[in-house]
Amino acid sequence: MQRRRLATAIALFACGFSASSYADWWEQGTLNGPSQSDIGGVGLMQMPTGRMAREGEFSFTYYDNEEYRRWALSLQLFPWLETTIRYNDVRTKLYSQVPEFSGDQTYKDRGIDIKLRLLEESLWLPELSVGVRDLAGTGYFAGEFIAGSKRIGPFDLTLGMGWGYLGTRDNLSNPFCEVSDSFCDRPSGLTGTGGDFEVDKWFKGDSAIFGGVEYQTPWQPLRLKVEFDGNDYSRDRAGVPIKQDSPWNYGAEYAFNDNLKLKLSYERGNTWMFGFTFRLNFDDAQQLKVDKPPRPAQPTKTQSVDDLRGEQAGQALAKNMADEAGFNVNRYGLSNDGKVLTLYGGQRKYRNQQEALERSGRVLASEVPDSIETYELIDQSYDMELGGYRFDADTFKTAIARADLTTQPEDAIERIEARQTEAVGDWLYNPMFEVGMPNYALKPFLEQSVGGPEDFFMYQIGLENAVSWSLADNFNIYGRVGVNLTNNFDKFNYLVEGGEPAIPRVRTYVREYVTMSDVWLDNLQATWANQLSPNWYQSLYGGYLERMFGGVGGEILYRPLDSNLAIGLNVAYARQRSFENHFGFRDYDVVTGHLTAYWKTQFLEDSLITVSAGRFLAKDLGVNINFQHEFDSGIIAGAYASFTDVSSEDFGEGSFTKGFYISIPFDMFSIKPSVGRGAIAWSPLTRDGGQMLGRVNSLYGITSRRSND
Amino acid sequence: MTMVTKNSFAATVLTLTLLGSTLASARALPQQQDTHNETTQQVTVHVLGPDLNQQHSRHWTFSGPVRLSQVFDVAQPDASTYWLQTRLTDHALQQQVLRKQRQLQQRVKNLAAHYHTHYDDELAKAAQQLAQQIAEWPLVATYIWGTSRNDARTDIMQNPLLTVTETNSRGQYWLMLQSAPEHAAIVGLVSQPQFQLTLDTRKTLRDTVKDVELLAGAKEDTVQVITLDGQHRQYPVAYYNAKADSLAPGAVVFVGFDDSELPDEYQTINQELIELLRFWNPEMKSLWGQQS
Repeated sequence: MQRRRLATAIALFACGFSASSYADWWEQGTLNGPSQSDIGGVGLMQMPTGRMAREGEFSFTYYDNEEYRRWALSLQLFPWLETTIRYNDVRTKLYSQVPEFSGDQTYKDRGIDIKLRLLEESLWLPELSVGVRDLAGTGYFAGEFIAGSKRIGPFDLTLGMGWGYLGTRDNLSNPFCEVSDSFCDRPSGLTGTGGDFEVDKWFKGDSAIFGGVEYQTPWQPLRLKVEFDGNDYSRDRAGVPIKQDSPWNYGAEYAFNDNLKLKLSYERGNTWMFGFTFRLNFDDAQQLKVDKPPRPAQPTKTQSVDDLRGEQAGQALAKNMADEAGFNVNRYGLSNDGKVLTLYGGQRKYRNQQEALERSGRVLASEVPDSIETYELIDQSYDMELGGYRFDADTFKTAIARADLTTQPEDAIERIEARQTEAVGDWLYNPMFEVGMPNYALKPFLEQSVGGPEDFFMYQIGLENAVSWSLADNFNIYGRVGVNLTNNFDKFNYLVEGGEPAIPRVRTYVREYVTMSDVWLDNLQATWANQLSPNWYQSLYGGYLERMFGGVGGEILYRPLDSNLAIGLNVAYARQRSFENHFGFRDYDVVTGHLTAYWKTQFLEDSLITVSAGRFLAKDLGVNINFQHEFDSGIIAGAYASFTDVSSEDFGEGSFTKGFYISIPFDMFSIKPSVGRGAIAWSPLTRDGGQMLGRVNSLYGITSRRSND
Repeated sequence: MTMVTKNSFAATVLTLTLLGSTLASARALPQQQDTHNETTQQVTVHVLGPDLNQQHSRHWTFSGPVRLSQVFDVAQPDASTYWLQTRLTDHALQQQVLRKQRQLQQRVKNLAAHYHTHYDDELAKAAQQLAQQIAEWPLVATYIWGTSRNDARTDIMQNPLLTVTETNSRGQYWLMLQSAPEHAAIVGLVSQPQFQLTLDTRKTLRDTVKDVELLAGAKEDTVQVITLDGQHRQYPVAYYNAKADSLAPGAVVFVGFDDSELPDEYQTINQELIELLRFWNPEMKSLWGQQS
């Protein structure tokens, strides 16, 4: 009797509870997207699948077993590209055998994975992806794979082939070995000091078939997984032998809610493992805003342009424009025929430019006489005219009053090249520049370094006091004083082997700088900027440019309106700041500079590639490449790398400078609109090669309104 | 802003009261307009529905431009009005949509000819069938999709001013109020298009698509669904990507061409047909045809 009940329960569990829910279950499949593997990135448990997550999907996965703890951040950068950063804590092995260097810290291995989609799933073909694991690391877990996944109802079937760490089972001969003998054996050891891409090892040596199934149970929160592992752990470097009793791994994933998934698995036929994945989507992330509603359509308050003339009228209009549209008016005037009102200033509140424009137009429509037929808003920065928008007043008023059935506010707005101030015939409001009070901002900061030998997580928490003071329309002084609250950077004990460094130490005195004082002058920079012509801009700057260098420099930028391409040249004389006193300098100096191309690609939407070629701080020559992608929420994810003539041996561990960052709009955490941003950066190791001079107020940033986005 | 003039409104209401809200009263109105001789700015709104079976129609003439909310106020829509079905049109827009319908029909015929000249008879036949089907689509143009009385009252952007315009010099508008739809439709590259598809709540969208025979060149793994609010979205329906989506009443399922089957100059044809299907309105097509 009991057996029959059990059988019925199993049948219901497997088939659902009614014909319609059965259909729903069968069709829904892995409705909420594919799940993350044990080690981060979409996959089964140890093995990857051919699946990609939804674009913008960001997840943090923690997984734990006897030998390893893993922390992985995975980001679906494009629908066809998955990127993963991971730390492996090898619990059975010390970081080094030198206690003075790393204490009792266990070995930490960092790695980067990428996975590219080759084919989207179709009627007959699976979703097919190729990937490389533990790229640019020490190679402990390096492996490559090709995997295809095909869904049939609630079952997602995967079959793949792995090389390196994913192919140690060696149950199928490497097909590339048939093509070329060079693929038959996998080179051992590391190129340089680790951190290189090790392309010469890819798809070489032993290979194995792997596969598995991800099954969506009728109970929506629960998924089950089975996989055949391509790794037999015979070449694992955990410091202790890892025994595998079975190549089959079994796992379950329970969705606690939309963001948190709990994982449990029984792997290798003898080991329980557990973990969790926390996820969110960078495209969807948003925050409700509390803001003044856009001004409703209403008759204008003014009858004559004289009502807009003078200090008092100007300040009143400027206040309303700032409060309701985020546009700070510097001055405004009329064209000679009295039909065009041009306002100069800058929008500093809304990330959504269309929203800001519509709000501006609504204010003007009710504060400017009807005799004015055109409004122009010109974005200024450092008194330079960057670009503008022209409103056809009648069309705009028709749209916001819904005075017909078809006109929309955007029909009235046109993007224009900036009207130079000389074109204004009658200045209605043109206050002389007055040196006002400096703007002051106080905010907390967290500086961090993850995965160092001295301590896994090194940090500094403090307060940043920033002051910005404009002494002329086009001259600004910016200073920042840091106050330490707490840090553990005193553990940082980077030593140059053999005493004499191979290249100048431009960044590795970080411990000295951090521990010098609890209060320090981070930077104090004066910047002057000027517009040479509509497309050409120049600036000069000088002072304490960053924590480690001071100097003087100049920059020139060519940036056509709304162009995908801009080019700049920046040259500076920089001298290393002292870490023994607040204002002094050390002996080391350098002339550094780069020719930089800024390219907003058309083939990768919402992405900017910056390529800077020139001389770096350690006098090394080379190129820095920076890639960043902006998601719908405004979050920017970026990566950079420098390749210079410093050899990987001279560079030290890591082989070359590289890093990642995420820039988060402040207004994601605020109910008030804002254009401010904060960044979280991650650099595997800080070394001296390929380092660029830091500074504030670069011309590309100052002229950001040359682009309409 | 012009409100309903007291005299004309009172006269209209009186006329309606005396004559009843019949089609005959609507046709009698032009005489009334001639009497007042205020044709230059007068706006007349014919309100159709929601009780379609009785071909219930009323109209109001306003002495000048009028807000949609004012029309709602005087029309006092029936409680059975299903706001998502609210539509507003005039002759000029309707002619524009019908012209587009003919153009697209011709374009699909040209596509059929293209397939034919490239010896792809199956595709040519499918495109020819689609062209014939397009001519039969019951389309009624509209300026608005699903504006409710409350929307119009509270949000000016949903409360347009109806005026005499260059293209609508007589100021004649038709406001269509309908009750909740009971059917959906499946059209496009299907052998038997269904304009009045009876919905089965046990069926998913994939089931619905599986029930029809697709023509050659059809995109089999995804369909476009156009909903009553004029929005459209792509839905997966193949065995490997379906997500148990269901179909709402009033929705139109469009099975389009697989992009890989379309020559370069026809790559936008699916999108153009979807835009046209936003005007899908089988209930009003016949009724409005009589009114206008």
